[in-house]
Amino acid sequence: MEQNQSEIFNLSVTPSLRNNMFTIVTWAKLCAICGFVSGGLSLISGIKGDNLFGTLISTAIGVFLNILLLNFATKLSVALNTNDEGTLVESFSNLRRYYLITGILMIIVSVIIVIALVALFAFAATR
Amino acid sequence: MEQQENMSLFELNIDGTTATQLNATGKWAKFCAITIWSMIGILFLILVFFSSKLIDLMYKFMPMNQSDAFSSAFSGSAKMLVIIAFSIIFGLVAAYYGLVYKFGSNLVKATNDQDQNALEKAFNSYKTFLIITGIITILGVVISLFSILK
Repeated sequence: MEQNQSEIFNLSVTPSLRNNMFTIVTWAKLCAICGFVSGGLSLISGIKGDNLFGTLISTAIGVFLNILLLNFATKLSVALNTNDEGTLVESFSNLRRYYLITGILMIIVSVIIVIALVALFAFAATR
Repeated sequence: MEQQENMSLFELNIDGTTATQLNATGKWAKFCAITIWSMIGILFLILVFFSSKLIDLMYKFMPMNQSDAFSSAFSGSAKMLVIIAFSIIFGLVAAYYGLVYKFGSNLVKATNDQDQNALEKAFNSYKTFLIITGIITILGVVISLFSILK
C-alpha cells in the first residue's frame, strides 16, 4: 500500500519544470487573448462580407477553444503559486478538453478534405 | 538532507488524477499531430503527382484573359518552384507539429513509466510550441488588423 502511494507521487513539479510551466502560462494566455482578438476581427470582416454564417461558426469554435486554453493557463498559474493539487488537476483537465475537441475537429476536417478531393478529381475526370 | 525533505513537502506533486488527465492530454495531442502529418502527406502527394491536373482544373474556372496569364506563369520551371515552395511550407508545418507529437509522446511516457525526465521534456516541447504559436498569432492579428483598416 505504502509502495503504491510512493509510486503515485513519483512525479513532481521540480524547479526547472516550474519555470517552464510559468513560461507556458504566459504564452498560453497571450495565445488565448490574441485568439479572442482574431475572432473579433474575423467577425467584423464576416459582417462586412457575405459569409456570416461560416464566420460565426468558426469564431464560436475558436472562442470556445481559447476559453479552455485561458482556463488552463490561469489555473496552472494559481496551482503553481499556491501549490494546490486540486487546481492543477482542473488546469490539466482544461488542456485535455482542448486537445480532445481539437482532435475531433481534425477528424471532421480531414473527412471533409478527403470528400472534397474525391469530388474534385471525379469532376476533373468527367470534363 | 532535512532541507531537501522540507522542500519536497512544499513541492507540487502529480497525483493519480493529474496523471490520468496528463495521459489523456498526451494521447489526444499525439493524435492531432499524426492527423496533421497525414494531411500534409496526402497534400504533398497530390501536389507532386497531380499538380498538372490541378493546374488544368484551375484554367477551367478562370476567365479567358486570366487563364492565359496563369498558363504562362505556371509553365516549366515556375511550376517546379511552386512545388518546392509548398514542400518547404509543408516541412515547416510538419516540424511545428513535431513539437506537439513530442509533447504528447513524452507526456504518455512520463505518466506510464513515472519518468520525471520525460515530463520535463514534454513541457519543454510544449513551451517551444506555444512560443512559436504566440508569435504566429500576433503576426496574424497584426495582418488582419491592417487588412480591416485598409
